[in-house]
Amino acid sequence: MKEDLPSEPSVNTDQKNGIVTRRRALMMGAITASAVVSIKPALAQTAGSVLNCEIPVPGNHAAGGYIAADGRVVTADTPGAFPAAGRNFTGEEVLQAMNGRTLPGTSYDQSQAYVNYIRRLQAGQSGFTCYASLQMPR
Amino acid sequence: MIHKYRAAPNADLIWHDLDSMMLLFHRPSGITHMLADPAPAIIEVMEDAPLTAAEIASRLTVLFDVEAGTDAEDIILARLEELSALGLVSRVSG
Repeated sequence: MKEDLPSEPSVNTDQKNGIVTRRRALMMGAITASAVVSIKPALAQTAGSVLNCEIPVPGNHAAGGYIAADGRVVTADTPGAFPAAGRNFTGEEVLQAMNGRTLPGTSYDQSQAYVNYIRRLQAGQSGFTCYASLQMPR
Repeated sequence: MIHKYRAAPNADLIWHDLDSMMLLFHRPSGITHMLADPAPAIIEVMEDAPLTAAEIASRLTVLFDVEAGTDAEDIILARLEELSALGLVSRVSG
């Protein structure tokens, strides 16, 4: 089963000094995954047209995976799981889906599963910056 | 052609840690940016030196556990270009 689990900090033991140090894991993301969203001065509105940013389901990090009802990425033979969405969803579509509408071209249950997947996105994964920017107060 | 990049002066930047991401206020432009990994780490390791993507990758591996199986240098280059377009990083000639 393929799951998205947060990276654990690694433990490096300095044998000579007996000191255990922990280094933070750095999520590199994908080349095409933008890592910055900019906010207009004074207005607290995103400059990069947040509602037009896109979220793939699933992203590159989970390509080929299916989406379970709770949003986890699972293998294709998992009962009740949905295949990848045929297209990316825009921030606007995701925002509406989070407010009760269904994502375009999906059934109610499928839309719920996709939204749950999006809620689980972590920094560095495709679509995370877009999803995070939707949380900004407008 | 290998380019070097320099981060905006530290005095121009105000950072605020937001758990899984960083808020960055850029004084000269008055624009606030939300940065996800690896962008904050890239700016952090650049300090005040003009560096290539390869040099930045090397510095990152000292401070962080860089995700295995990624083409770190190409990703860093893409992020540098992104940060450059926002004025947070500048390309240095030579």
